[in-house]
Amino acid sequence: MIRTIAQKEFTTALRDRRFLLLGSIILLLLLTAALTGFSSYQLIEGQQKAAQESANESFHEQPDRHPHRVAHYGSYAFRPKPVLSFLDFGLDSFTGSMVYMEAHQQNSANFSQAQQSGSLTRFGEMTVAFVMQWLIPILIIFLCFNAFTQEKEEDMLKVLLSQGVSLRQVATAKIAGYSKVLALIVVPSITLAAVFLFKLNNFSWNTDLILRITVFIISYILYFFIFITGSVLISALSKHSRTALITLLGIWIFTCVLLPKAAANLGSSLYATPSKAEMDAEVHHEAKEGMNGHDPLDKRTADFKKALLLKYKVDSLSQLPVNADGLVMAEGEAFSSKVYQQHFEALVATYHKQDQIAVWAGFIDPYLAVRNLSMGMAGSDFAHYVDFLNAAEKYRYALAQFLNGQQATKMHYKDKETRLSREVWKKYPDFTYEMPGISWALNNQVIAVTALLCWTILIYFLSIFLIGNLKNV
Amino acid sequence: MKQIRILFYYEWLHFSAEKSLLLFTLLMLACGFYGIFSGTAAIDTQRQKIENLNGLYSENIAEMKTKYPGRADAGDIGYYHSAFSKNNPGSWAALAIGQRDVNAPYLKIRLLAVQAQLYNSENTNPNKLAAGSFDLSFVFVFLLPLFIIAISFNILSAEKEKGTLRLLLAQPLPLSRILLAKLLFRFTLILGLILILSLIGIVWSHAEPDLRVLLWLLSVILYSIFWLGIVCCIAVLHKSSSFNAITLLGIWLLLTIVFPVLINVFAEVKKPVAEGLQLSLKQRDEVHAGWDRPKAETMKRFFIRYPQFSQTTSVEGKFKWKWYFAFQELGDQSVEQLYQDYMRKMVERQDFSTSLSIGSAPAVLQQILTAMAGTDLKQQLAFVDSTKAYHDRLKDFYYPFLYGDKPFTHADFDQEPQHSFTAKPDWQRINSGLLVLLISNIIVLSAALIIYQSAKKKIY
Amino acid sequence: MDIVLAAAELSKNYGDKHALQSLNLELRKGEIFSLLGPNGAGKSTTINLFLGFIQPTSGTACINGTDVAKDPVGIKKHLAYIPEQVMLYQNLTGIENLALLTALAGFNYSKAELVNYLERAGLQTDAIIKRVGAYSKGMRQKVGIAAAVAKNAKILLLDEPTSGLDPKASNEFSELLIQLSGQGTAVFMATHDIFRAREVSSRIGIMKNGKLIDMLDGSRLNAGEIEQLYLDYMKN
Repeated sequence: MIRTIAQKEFTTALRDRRFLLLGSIILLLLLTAALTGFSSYQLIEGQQKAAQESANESFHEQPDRHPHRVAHYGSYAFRPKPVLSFLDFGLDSFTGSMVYMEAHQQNSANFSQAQQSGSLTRFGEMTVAFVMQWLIPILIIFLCFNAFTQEKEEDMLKVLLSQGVSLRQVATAKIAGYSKVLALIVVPSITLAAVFLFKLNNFSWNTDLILRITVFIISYILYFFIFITGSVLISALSKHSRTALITLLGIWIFTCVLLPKAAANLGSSLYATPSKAEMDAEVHHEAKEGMNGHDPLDKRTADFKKALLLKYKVDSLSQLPVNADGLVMAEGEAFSSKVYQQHFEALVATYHKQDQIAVWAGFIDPYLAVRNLSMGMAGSDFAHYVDFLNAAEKYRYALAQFLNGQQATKMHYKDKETRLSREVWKKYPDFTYEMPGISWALNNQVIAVTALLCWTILIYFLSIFLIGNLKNV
Repeated sequence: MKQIRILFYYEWLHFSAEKSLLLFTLLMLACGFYGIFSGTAAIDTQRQKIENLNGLYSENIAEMKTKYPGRADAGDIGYYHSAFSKNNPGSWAALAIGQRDVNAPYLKIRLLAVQAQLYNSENTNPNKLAAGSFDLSFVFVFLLPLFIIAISFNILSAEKEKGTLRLLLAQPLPLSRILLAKLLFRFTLILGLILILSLIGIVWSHAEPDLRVLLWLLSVILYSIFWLGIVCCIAVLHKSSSFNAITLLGIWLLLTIVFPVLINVFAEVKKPVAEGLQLSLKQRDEVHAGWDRPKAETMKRFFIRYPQFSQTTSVEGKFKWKWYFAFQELGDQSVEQLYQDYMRKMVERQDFSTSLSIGSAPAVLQQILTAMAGTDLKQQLAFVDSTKAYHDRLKDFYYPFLYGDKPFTHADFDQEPQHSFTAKPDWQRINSGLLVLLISNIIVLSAALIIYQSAKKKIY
Repeated sequence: MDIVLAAAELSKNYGDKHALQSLNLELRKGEIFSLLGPNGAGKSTTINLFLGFIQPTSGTACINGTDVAKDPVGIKKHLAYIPEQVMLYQNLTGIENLALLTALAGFNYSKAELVNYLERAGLQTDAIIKRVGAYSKGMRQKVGIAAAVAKNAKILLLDEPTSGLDPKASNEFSELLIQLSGQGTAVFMATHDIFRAREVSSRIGIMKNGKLIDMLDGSRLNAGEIEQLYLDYMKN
């Protein structure tokens, strides 16, 4: 019985010329999005890779230099584009892609796409995620808004029920039928995306990637299911097709346009972000005066030097078997890095608080839940970005301390002229970045996952219950 | 005229009886108020941050004075002291934040090579940037069309579906008059909404009441007429309400989202800008090469640009700041061409996407409003340029100390040049945008007329 | 000038289909005319032509001596029309609906006058100030009749007025029509209801496939005879 009705919905939809038109437009957009996402991934990835290589080369090809020179020459970290991010750019266009790593200083990530574009970028981006999050719900609404109202208007519902079907069966059948129609549009695009992915990853699949794409696809399947079931429910509760349509379009505007923007703006007006200048000044101040203002740099340095003299049992720094300059600098770097890291963590915590509104709003708005989860799987969410920044900072710190160590062991006290052989930096390992695994990524999106699952279960049972008890057929 | 007045009055009766319409209007007003509030709050925060720079600046000078209690080497000051270039928001910025949230509202500037300092970012939450600003321009560009569609998608189809249209048409009045009255009523409502929100927005955000008040209203009103025209084109096809709703929403999606997004992708592919990265890498190499180059050669190259300092004392021997700053200068010079290209290419990219976006009224309005508020990329580039010029002024101030071997005293801090940039409206972009809107209106309204004439018979 | 409605060789084609062929008809002041015919015979087309909603392929339709095609708006001053599913604005009350319709026709009645018209059309006083959403078809028709009277229409066009009415409402409606014709208003009604047609009309036209095939005198034949004639016509 259910299968018959589902088949009827499937056939009807395929005979509706308007649906076919809309469906093919969206299929076309989906394919365009996959294609542009793919080519822009290749373009950016290529640029980043070339830039990283040339930066690495410049670092290795340095002439004989004083190690502190090298520390200031520094290196660059370019953020490799996560493979799946061609499906969902997430925040990538708004986060800087390049960090300059030098001694004593933590630089901001610069040159984001958005900084180099006009306000047109703010309209959105052509990605598979955009089409799936924004446009497919519209298609679903168009497909389902008259699921029940048309039957009511044509008085067919009574005819159906008189054949011995229950309302609940009709509802299940309709949901099944519409899902099948939608699959016709989504499956080809996902297949194409998989082919691209195959190509991008040089035909090698690792478990992490497979798991990520699986969760990615499942989250969208749930999202579409929520919209299909919700639309069928609204249709069942409405008297006329046009009321159902207007209600659904209103819901779409609220969930996809209004709420996400309002949530993000509310978050950032509730929790103030310190400016970079203020943060830098505080880091500078605390590094100099001590974290509580008790332990100024001068005193710390003096204490450190005193301890050194004591340790090696000598009278002056020049008698030390090691170079005190390098050790003092390493000590200073360690302290200022600690201070910076504290402030940076506080900043990330502020962002996190700002974002929590949009995260919890996932329980009201499935769009937000799927958006966050999708970015998380694609590796283009905030957590992945911070992970990259932390990796860059770790590398920067290690490099600076390595060079300080070189200065401490291979140079003499107060020696500013001697240059170390180029072989030293030639051998220093390059900056490489490996994206964390899926369990880490999922762990950041626990709320989004929960919200999406809650939505799916709740809307299904709510629909079955409400439609099953419909009075007014 | 009398009949229009009567119909107008009855539209009002319908409107006040229809709860959903009232709800839409209230929702729109609420969004508008939130947009005004949120935009103003965002720009106030930026202003506050810029204001706070003064404190940081004085603290830095105080620190310098403690560190160098007597006469100082200007090189030490140039290296350790930092000043700020400030990108003050124009008085209209809160109404259309544009790209201001993405770009730094100030830059920290030292006497060192400027090219390593021009592209720094400000602390911003990328999630918030990706979501975009909820300001009045968003309400007008994105939500106003939805409101117009919501109140008028069934302008004729509802009468037809409810069966009242034949009754109305059996009265001595033509269809055009009915349509006109209905449109006029909705236009009045929209006009009222635009006026209320714009004026409250202007007052609340303390926008300077100049010619822009008129231009702002004119562009938003033209934009609303454009959308009414689109609604008309669909309504006079005399299809069902459902058809109208889905078609109009489709057009909205196409014009406000899909089309601008495609233009943006196209512009990025057609006009790639890679100079930023290249410039950073090259400049660093040039600066650091200075350490390994013979000092005399560095100075010789420096004197080509600054012959007035060629009599300065020798830099050989122990480390001298004037040699250090000389190769900083050379680092900047080496990427001057790249910098010019970088700036030019970004302008070209923006101009390219602007010229493509004439087909999308929402993109055009967005550009007009940000041009008015001075919050688009061009003003940001102007700020970067002015920061670079400010760095030149700093050099002009410090170099005589540095290369004249003149000690720098505490009193000299008061003479340090200050920077302040306030974004200006881009009149040319406003005017060309308005022209495009006007032409779009003419096209849409004529299309509506043509469709009206040709589909007239389908109404019965 | 007694002829208020006239058709001369009035024809309407939709492509190859002849919806109406060479209709010739004249209605005098106060005359009630019924047009009988099966679905698709051309009754609605005829009404739409008189309303100027569609353009004739050839021939003319005149209301009060004016060619409808030449002045589709002007002729509506003399004409009132009640469609089969007479729909009024549901959010407005009966009196507000009447005020709208008469105001558009150029009359500026006071509230008391409007109430008077509605009461004379047989609407209960308490119903007048209720929203039309709660009205039955019969009540809505009464508002339509009140509008015809209030705008002093010379001709009333009716499309299936008695379909969906209960016998009592139907009876009341017939009385209203007779009253109206007594005041000099001509009535043109398209209907399936042979009994009502016979009861109120002076002449009955029978239409088939777009052609007026017979014209009967309502006063000479009884309903049974008319029905027999009608069925005979439909057979062949």
